Amino acid sequence: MEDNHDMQELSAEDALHAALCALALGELAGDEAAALEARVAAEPELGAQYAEARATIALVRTSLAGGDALPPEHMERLLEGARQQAQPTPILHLAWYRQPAVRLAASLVLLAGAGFVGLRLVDQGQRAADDSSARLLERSSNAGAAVAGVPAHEPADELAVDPAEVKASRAELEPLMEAAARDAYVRRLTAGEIRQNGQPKYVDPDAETVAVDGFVDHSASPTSEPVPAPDASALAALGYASDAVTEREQVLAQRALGDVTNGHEEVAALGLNLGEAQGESKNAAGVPNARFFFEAGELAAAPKAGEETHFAGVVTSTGRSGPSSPGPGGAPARRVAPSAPSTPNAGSAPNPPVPPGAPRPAQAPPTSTTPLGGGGGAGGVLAGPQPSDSRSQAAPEALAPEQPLAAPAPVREERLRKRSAVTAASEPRDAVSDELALGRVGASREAAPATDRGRGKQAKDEGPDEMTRAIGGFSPGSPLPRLSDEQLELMVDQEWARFHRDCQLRPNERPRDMYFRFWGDNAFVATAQDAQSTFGADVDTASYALARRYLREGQRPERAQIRTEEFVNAFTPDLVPPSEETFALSLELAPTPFGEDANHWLLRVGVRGKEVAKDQREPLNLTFVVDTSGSMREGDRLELVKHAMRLLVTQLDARDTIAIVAYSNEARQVLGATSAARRDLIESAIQPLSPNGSTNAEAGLRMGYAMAETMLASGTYNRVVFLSDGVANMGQTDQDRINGDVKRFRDAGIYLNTIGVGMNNHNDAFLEQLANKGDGICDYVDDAKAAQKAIVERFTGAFVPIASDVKLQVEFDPAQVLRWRQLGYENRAIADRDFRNDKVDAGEVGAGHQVTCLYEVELAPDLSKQDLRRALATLRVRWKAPKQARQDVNEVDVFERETALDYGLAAGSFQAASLGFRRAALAAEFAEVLRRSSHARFDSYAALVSELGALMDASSRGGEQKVIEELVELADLVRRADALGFGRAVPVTNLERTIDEYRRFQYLRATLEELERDQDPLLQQIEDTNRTLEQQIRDALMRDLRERHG
Amino acid sequence: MTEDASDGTLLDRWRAGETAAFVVLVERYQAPLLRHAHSVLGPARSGGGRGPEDVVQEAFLKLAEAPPALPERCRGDAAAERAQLGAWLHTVTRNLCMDTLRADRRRQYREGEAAPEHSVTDGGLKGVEAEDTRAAVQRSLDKLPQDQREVLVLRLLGEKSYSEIADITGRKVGTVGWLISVGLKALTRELAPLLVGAPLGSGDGAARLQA
Repeated sequence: MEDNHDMQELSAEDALHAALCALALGELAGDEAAALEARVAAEPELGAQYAEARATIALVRTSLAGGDALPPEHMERLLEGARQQAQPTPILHLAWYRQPAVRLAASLVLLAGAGFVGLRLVDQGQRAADDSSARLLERSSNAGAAVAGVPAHEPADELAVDPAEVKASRAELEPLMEAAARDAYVRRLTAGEIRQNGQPKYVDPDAETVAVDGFVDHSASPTSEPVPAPDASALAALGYASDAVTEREQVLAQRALGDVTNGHEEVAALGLNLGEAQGESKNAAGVPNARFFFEAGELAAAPKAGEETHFAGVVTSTGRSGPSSPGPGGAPARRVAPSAPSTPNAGSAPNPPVPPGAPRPAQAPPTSTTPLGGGGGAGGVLAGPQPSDSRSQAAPEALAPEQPLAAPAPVREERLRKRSAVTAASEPRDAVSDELALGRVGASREAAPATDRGRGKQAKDEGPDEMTRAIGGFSPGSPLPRLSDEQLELMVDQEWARFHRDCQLRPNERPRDMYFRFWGDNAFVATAQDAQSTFGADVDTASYALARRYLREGQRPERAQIRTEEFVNAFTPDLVPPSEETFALSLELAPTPFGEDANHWLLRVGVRGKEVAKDQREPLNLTFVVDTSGSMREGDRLELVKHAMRLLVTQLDARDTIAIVAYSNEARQVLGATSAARRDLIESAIQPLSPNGSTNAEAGLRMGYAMAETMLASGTYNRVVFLSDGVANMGQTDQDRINGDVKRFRDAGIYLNTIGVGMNNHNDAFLEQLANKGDGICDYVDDAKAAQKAIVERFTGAFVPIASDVKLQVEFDPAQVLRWRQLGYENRAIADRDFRNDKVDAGEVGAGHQVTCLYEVELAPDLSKQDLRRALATLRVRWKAPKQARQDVNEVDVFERETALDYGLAAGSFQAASLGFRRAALAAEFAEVLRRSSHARFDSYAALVSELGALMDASSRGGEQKVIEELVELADLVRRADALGFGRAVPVTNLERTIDEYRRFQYLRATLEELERDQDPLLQQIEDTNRTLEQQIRDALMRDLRERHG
Repeated sequence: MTEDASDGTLLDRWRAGETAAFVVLVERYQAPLLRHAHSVLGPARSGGGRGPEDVVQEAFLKLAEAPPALPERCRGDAAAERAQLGAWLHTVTRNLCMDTLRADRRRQYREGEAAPEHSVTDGGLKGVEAEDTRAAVQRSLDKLPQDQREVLVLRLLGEKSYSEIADITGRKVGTVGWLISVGLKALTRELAPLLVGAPLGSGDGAARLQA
């Protein structure tokens, strides 16, 4: 064939033409080319040929340029094939799960691992002045040992005889593993926090396991125990106060501890030794059951080592306490749940789990021993101080026994026995402690939440709320061993001493912090004492969206989820945006329908950001960090996330760049930096994402930031968008470090937005904190409609910043405003002196956002005309230009504006105030009702309903459609909240009321002392009252105990 | 940006599971590969069998399944990476085309049909509207024998060098040059009306061209 031609065989003419073609195509070079070019120039015929060849080449090239593309159906098939190729890792990952042998082994490893890791970590965290390293070793060496001659591999046998376990489907096993991984992680975090700064900051993301604080109504939770005595639940309701989890609370708590450098020092100082955590698990009555015994409260003051006081409480580990839908790890948790009813028989359990305690001298520092009872539907008994803060508490101990618990259990039992034996030998057993502990076994109910609250917190905080819980802990009506009067009095003494100490003002604590500690709300502040309120802007609305979801599903939102400021800010802005300035400032004052008396008014502080037209915004570089862990499978969370991303992409155009990182066990890049106009590429990256594995949020964030860094370009806004259900359970997720990273990148010009999906009690706080640190917005999206609202309608607000570090300061005139309190923004507080300190950062505000904050103010009853000329309140706003990439921090422009309000400008009545004002007031009030705020506990609901009706009437006349819809929605939520019991006053027993009163008097006294009114006759009166109250509380305690033990 | 990443980078990302990287590669190479496949398989393939699109799709699937390892020496050199991957893809495409042709031939033999001759029309391109230029050029190309067409397409549209084409097609460089020369001559004759708007053959046509 022609293939065999060779140059040599060609005729001269053909060879010349071939050379011409080569020349025309640029294949010739050097002398050869030069020579031929010369000939072409010299010989016209050759020139013509050359020109023809070139013309032909040009014609072919131009006319066929552009080229073909594969037809869509081919492309589709090709991508389908590619996607299958793209998933090798997950497939492999699943494959080994599926093997029964691996499953068996995994269960074993997991159980053993969870147990020991937990013990080890707890130990690490609490290695306070303690030979725990030695114990650790001992424990480790015991790990392989067995109880009472039972071979070490007993657990395997146990598993083997449980064919159901072997047959467990992958679907069951996977969440289990994830939950276990999470629990271990959480435990480590908690422990780690203790080690680092004496308090845990991590917020347990796991709804199912931590559910309960006083806010959960057991009556509304079908799975909860039927027994709780009314006073217990009511007590819990009081006790909720300190469940509010905010950074501020933690800060306060830390401050309260005198900023100890080291948690265990503090613990040691308090005479507590929490170094021991003992657990036991057994199969009682055929029900998987797990109990953990915490030995706590070894008295540092004990004269001799031999007189150590051990106190054991029992915690029944259960999973869920609330009715919320099963989350990750929910399945195993539920399995364990039936253990609760079986607990009472623990008194006759084969292994008396109670290390005997020495008689506790009443005058000794109170031990940490406190049974925990509150917690509504799922209280429990837990020896050791109770952390007051359910939300920020990781789930430390009780989560371990998710499953048969075969492996670690014997070891723990042995430890206990050894311990018991030792103590029994070295000292006389104390019947009281012993029996008390047993009694508490009987009293224990579903206790997971109790244990969830974390030993980290125990170490640092034996708050007064634990006291209330403790008292509640005696309530459950199961029969308890009879105790002598002496023993009962001893118990009362102990409880009282604990409670009393926690009601005192702590070192470096201000009375208002103490108030917050007691009730979780901002206190009224005397203007004479402090005339300024300073806080960072917050435009998040996630709290409202999440509460809405809860209410619509017929569940009670948790108190800690309700952030008043996010309720207020969830509504369409009503203030007119500025046309030139960055912010329009507004102050509005009107009487409040919710105040104590006519002197209580509401002040609304409003700051509205300018709008930015879509085509005028700066280019955006967005990096999506997508959670593709197994938990995202639930309720199609990942599909919702994909939907959200697609929506977001529709808002972008060729100016913008996006990248996508997916994470589960590991992080991986699924889309490199790509023009947002390339919808096809983006879709090809989004479409194949599938949920699998665990949640290594840190790896995801880290890779996301690494990618965002590569995209940094001047003149652009760079943002990482973190989409997740918030459950972080793997990786080195030390909260502090993550936050530190987020902060550092923010300073480098990369913001962080978070979008939460799915329903999980605790994801919310994790995501909110991340967004806070990253100066971004936290959104919660539960369906396509919410996604539309959060992403499309609020796009410029959420993604186009107009100002960063926005701080607000309100200054009241002491002559006109006697007291003030801020509604919400508890975790946004900034020291007054830092208002002009530009190093102190605050919130970011996006285009068109409105920041609204309400103050309840008590005006002087005799405001005279002359006061009218002075500003009643002054609002200052300070902000920086939004951070762009590669910008020197020192070159950022700083702005400040202020405005003032005269009393003369106040509205005469609530109804005369602007609709926006009224709406904000009602939203805030609703939040306070849901929070069971100490300021709105008893009577505000009726006022809320009637004012809401009036507002809807007023708005329906010429109001915007959207605004009306929002009000209708609010009204619907209010109605649902009523159905869930929020409309009724919190039931209060005498004991609770007395405790509450005692606290109030303590707070009052602290306030008076702060005001240096030491000589005030009121003080004496308070002292007297306190004595009376003390007696009442003691009596009530005694009555309570006697009922159960006598 | 993903779109601008070098072939080597994209291959790495694809190996790491980034679908978008693969899509970019497909977009980058589909046009030259389609042209190449088209040039090998010939125009208007009747009687079933796989068309250029099918062949190219399969070539890309091979890329997806087993992305070639680029030689270490061209790491980071986008042009070199491109040449390497391009050669690989073109070779795979060509082999698939050859398989297709062989299968076609077998089928046609079984069916007792002669391979359809390319109907050579009179080449009268007068009156071809400007917007039909593309179709006309394509038609002229299609009329060329397969080997000439292939090298011309690779050279003119795929911008492959003679030696690259030699690698892809398994011919000597000289043969490639000769095939291009012959093919280009035929094309010039065929497309003369389009080149100058008048019948070809005289020096003044060429002169006008030069001007």
